[in-house]
Amino acid sequence: MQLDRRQFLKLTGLAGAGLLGAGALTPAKARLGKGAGQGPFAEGAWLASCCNMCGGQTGIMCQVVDGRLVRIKPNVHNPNGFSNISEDFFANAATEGAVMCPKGNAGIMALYDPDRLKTPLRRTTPEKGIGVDPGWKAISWEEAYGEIVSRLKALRESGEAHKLLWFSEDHSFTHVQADFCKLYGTPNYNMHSNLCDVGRKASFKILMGDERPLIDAINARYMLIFGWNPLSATKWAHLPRIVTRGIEQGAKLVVVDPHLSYTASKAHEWIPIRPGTDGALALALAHVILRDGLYDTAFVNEWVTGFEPFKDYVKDKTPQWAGEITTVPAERIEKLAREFAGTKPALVDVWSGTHHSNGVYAGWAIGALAAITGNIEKPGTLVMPEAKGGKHIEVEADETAKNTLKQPRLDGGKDRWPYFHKSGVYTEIINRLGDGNTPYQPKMAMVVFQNLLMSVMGTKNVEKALKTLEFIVVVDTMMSETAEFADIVLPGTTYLERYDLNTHWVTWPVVGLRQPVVQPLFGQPAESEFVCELGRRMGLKEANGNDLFRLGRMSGQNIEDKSRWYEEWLSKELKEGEPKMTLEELKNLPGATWVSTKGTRYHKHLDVIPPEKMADSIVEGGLVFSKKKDGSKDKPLGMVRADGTAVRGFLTPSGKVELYAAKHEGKKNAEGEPLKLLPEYEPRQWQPSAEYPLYLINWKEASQTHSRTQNNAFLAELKVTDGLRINTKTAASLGIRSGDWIWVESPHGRIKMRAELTEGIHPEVVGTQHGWGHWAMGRTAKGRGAHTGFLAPTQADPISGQALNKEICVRLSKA
Amino acid sequence: MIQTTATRPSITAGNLPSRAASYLVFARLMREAPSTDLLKFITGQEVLEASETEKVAVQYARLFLVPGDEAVRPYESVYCDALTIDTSTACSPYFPSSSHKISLNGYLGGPSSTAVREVYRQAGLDLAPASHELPDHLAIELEFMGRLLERRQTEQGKMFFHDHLARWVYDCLHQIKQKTDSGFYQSLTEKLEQFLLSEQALFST
Ligand code: SF4
Repeated sequence: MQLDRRQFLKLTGLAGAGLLGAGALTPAKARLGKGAGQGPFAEGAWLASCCNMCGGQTGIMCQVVDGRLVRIKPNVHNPNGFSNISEDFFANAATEGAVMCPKGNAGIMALYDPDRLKTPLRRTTPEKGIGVDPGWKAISWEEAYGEIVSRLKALRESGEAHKLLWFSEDHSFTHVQADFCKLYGTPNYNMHSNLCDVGRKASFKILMGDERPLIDAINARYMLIFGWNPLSATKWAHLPRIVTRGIEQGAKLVVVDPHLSYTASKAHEWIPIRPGTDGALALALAHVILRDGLYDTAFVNEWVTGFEPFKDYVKDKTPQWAGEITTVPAERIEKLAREFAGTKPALVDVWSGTHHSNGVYAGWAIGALAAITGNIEKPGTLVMPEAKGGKHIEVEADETAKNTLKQPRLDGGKDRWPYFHKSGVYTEIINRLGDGNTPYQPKMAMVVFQNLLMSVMGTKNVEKALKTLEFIVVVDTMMSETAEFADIVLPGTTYLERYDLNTHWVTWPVVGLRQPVVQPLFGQPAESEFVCELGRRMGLKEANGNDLFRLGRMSGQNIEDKSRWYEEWLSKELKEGEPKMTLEELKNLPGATWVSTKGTRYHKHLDVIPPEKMADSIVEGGLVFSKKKDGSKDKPLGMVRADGTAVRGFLTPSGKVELYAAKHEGKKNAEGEPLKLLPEYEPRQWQPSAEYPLYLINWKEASQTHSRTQNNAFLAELKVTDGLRINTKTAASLGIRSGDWIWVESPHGRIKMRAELTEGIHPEVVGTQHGWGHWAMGRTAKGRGAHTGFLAPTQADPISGQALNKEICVRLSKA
Repeated sequence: MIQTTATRPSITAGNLPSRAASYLVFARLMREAPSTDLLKFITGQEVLEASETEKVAVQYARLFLVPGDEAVRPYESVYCDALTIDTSTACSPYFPSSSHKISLNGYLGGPSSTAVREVYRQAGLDLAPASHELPDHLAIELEFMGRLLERRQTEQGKMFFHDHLARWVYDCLHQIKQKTDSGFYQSLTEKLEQFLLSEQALFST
C-alpha cells in the first residue's frame, strides 16, 4: 500500500483535521523555568530502593536528575548488600561501604532498554508456536482490560474460575496477586520458587524444621560447599564479601562441584564430583566422622534424633563405596571428613546442587553433616534467619470463589507432593496440560514476569502445554519467548518504577523498601495497580463484602488513585508487621530500610517459651503446641528439655534435628513410592548410557539472572561462558577442538554450541551457563549461545516438586 | 485555511500553516498506526478492507513496537546519547580492571529526552498525560515543530530543528527504509525525508 501523493498533500492543508486525533503535546500547566517544576528531581536526588535484577533485593541508591535515572550505587544502610550478620553490619558497614553485583549495576540499562515493550499488544496470528510470528498490533489499555476482564468474568460466572492459571515472580508484589487469585476463586496461583530452591527447602525442613537456614560465612573457620557458586551466582550481593571475609579471617573453603566454578577457582580446594552423587559423598563423610568418633556428642545427645539408625545406615557407606560412586578418591574423603569435623565452627551447605532426582535426600545428608558436628545455630555455622517483615493480611474469599477454590490444584498440590511448596509445581502443570491427564482443562493463563519456555526444562513440552490454553496474557518488560505465545501482552514495569517490601536474606529482621525512583516510562501501571484494576473491574469482594481493591487499608476510605491505594496496602503490612510503621515513615529512614536493633540471634533453639504462651498451650509427648480457639492443638511452639524448661527447639515433629524422619512412615512421594526414613543415597534416575555417555549440567554466574537479563547490552559485554565447556581429555577423545561447532544431542532434541575446552570440568561432564539461546526477547539476547531446555524432559523431584534442571545426558558430535 | 495544491507542492513551500500541518500529519503517522479513515484519506482509496488497516498496524508494530530484525527505535536518545555505568562499586570478577566506566549507545531516556522536554516546557508545552511516550520520540519532536510553526515561531523552530531533529532523524529514516518491507512505511518515510530536506533548506537560508 502506498501513500497517494495528491491526497497526502491535500491532507497537509487540512490543519487540525479530525483525522489526526489529539496530539501528544498539551499546554504546560505553567510556564516553567529551566529545571523547575520537577520537584525533588530538579537538582538531582538520591532515592533509596532495592535491586530486583535478581531475587536478591540488594539495597541500592538511585540518583535521579530531571526525572532521569543516571546512576545506581549500593545502599550502605541496607544490610542486604553488606552482610547477613548484624554484628558485622553494625560495626563495619559505615566504614567499608556496601556492594552490588554487575547485574545490579546494569539495572539502568534494563530501565532504558530500547527493546522494552511500551504498549499493550494483541496477536493477529491465531496460530501459536516457536518461530511463529504473532503479528502483533498495538491496542489501547482500555481494549486490553476490556477483553481480559470479560474473559475472566465469563470463567468465573460459569463456575470455572479454577481454570485460570496464574504464574508470577516470587519476590515481587506476590501478596496482591495471591489475594486476587483467592478472591477470584482459582487455587492455581504459582510462582518461581519451585524452579529454584524448594528441593533445598525440603531437605532442611526435614532436617531442622526450617526451610532456609543461611550461612554465617564471616565467622566460619571451614566452609564445605556442595554444588553452589556463592562468589559469582550472587543472589544477594553480600555473598562474595562474607565468604571472602571468612577466608581472610582464616577459614578454609572447599567446593564440591563437577565444574570449576568461580567459587571453586577461589577455593583452597576444588573437588570435582560426578553429578547427582553429592548425597553419597556426604554419607561417606558422615561414616568417617561417626566411625572415628569425631562428632559433637553433647549436641547429638540433646538435639539430634535418629542418631542410632543413621549411624547404622552409614556403617557401610565407606569412603571406598563413595569413591566408586562419586569419583572422589577414598583418601580424599577420609581427609575431608577429618578436616571438616576437626575445625570449629564449620559450615556446610548446598543450593541448586539439589536439582537432581536424589536431590532432597542428598541435601538432607549434607545437612546431617552439620547436625552431627554440632554446626547449627552457632556463629560461623548454619543459622535460621528471623525473616520478619511486612505482614500479609489474610483475606477471605466469598462463596462463589470458595466453590472453585475447593477444586484440586492442577499440579496435585499437597496431596501429591509430601513437601509441596506454595509456589506450585510448574513441571507437573506443563506435563498435565501437555498430555491432557488433568482433572479439568484450564482455559486461561496469566503470566507475570515468568518465561516458562526458557525456565521450565523440556521446551517442546512447554510449547505443547501453552498451546492447549485458550487465552494467555503475559505481563513483562520484554518480549520473552513466552510472551510470543500470548494473546495479549502488557508492558510491565521494571523494579525501578514500582514498590515492594523486602525482608529476606539476612539473619535478623530487616525491611528494605523498593520504591519507584522514576515514573513508568510509558505510563504503564505498576503490576500491583494492574491487578488492582482487574479486581475493580471484576467487582471482586471479600467474604465480608469489603471492596479489597478499592478500600484504603489505612484510611478505611475508598481510594480511586491506585498508586495511593497500594501505598496504603503496604503501610498496613508494615504497621501490622515487624517494623510497626507506615510506608511514609519507612521512606524517611536512612536508606529507606528498617533494621531491627535486636540483631542476629544464635542458639534460637534454646529460646525459652514465655510463661504466658505456656499457660495457653498444650504439652503432649514432650512437645508444646499453641491452642486453637476451640481448645484443640494448633502449631508447634517448641519442646520441654530434660531439666523441665520449655524452649523453642527445632520445629520438627521431635523438636530436634532429625537424622531419622519417623514422620515419613506410611507416606508416599508423587510417584507413589514410600518416603525414605533416612537420607539415603540412590543413583539419580537418568544415568549416562553408551548412546548418551555424558552428563550435561548448567550453572549461573553474576553476569546474568536466569533467562531474564540477556538483552542487557552491558551484561552481554562481560566475559562469560555461552558455549559448551568440555574437559580437554574428553574433547580429545572425540576429536573436538576449542571453538569447534558441535551438536549436543539427547533423546529429546539437539542444539548447536561452540566448544570451550577446559581442565575445569569433570571429564564425564559437559556444561554451560543457563539462560542463553534466546530466539526472542531483543536484539542483544537473540541468537547467542543455546538453550539446554530442548535436551531435557520436564520433570520434578517427586518429594518437593523441585524442577530437575540438571538431570540430562547427552552425546557430542562435530557439526 | 484550505489551500490548493495544484500548482505548487506546498510540502516544500515556505508557507507556514501548510508546513505546520505537514509536521502534524507526519507526527500522527509516526506516533501510531493510522485509523481506517485516515488510511483511506492518505491513500486515496474510497473503500478499504478492515484487514488492510490491520496489516498496516502490524507493520507499524513490527517496525516500532516489538524487537526483531525490522525494529527501529525512533528516539533521539537512541541515536545521540551514550549510557555510562560506573562499575567501581560492583563485586565482580568480570569487569575489565583498567576502567571503572562503561559507555554504550542506543538507549532510551538519555539526556536528549530531558533536553527536548525542557525545550517543550520553555515553549509552554508538555507531554499530555495520556501520551504514554518519551519526549524525544520522532512523532513528538515532529509535533513540536508543527506547533511552533503554527504559532509562527520560526526562529525557535529553526533552533529545534538544528539542535535536535536534524541530529538524528536522517539516520533513523535511513534505517527504517533499510529495514521495513512495508510499502506504506517505505513511501511514508521517503515523503518525510523529502519534506525534512526541504525544511532544512528553508532553515538554512
Ligand atoms: S545480587 Fe546483584 S542483581 Fe541480585 S539483587 Fe543484588 S545487586 Fe541486584
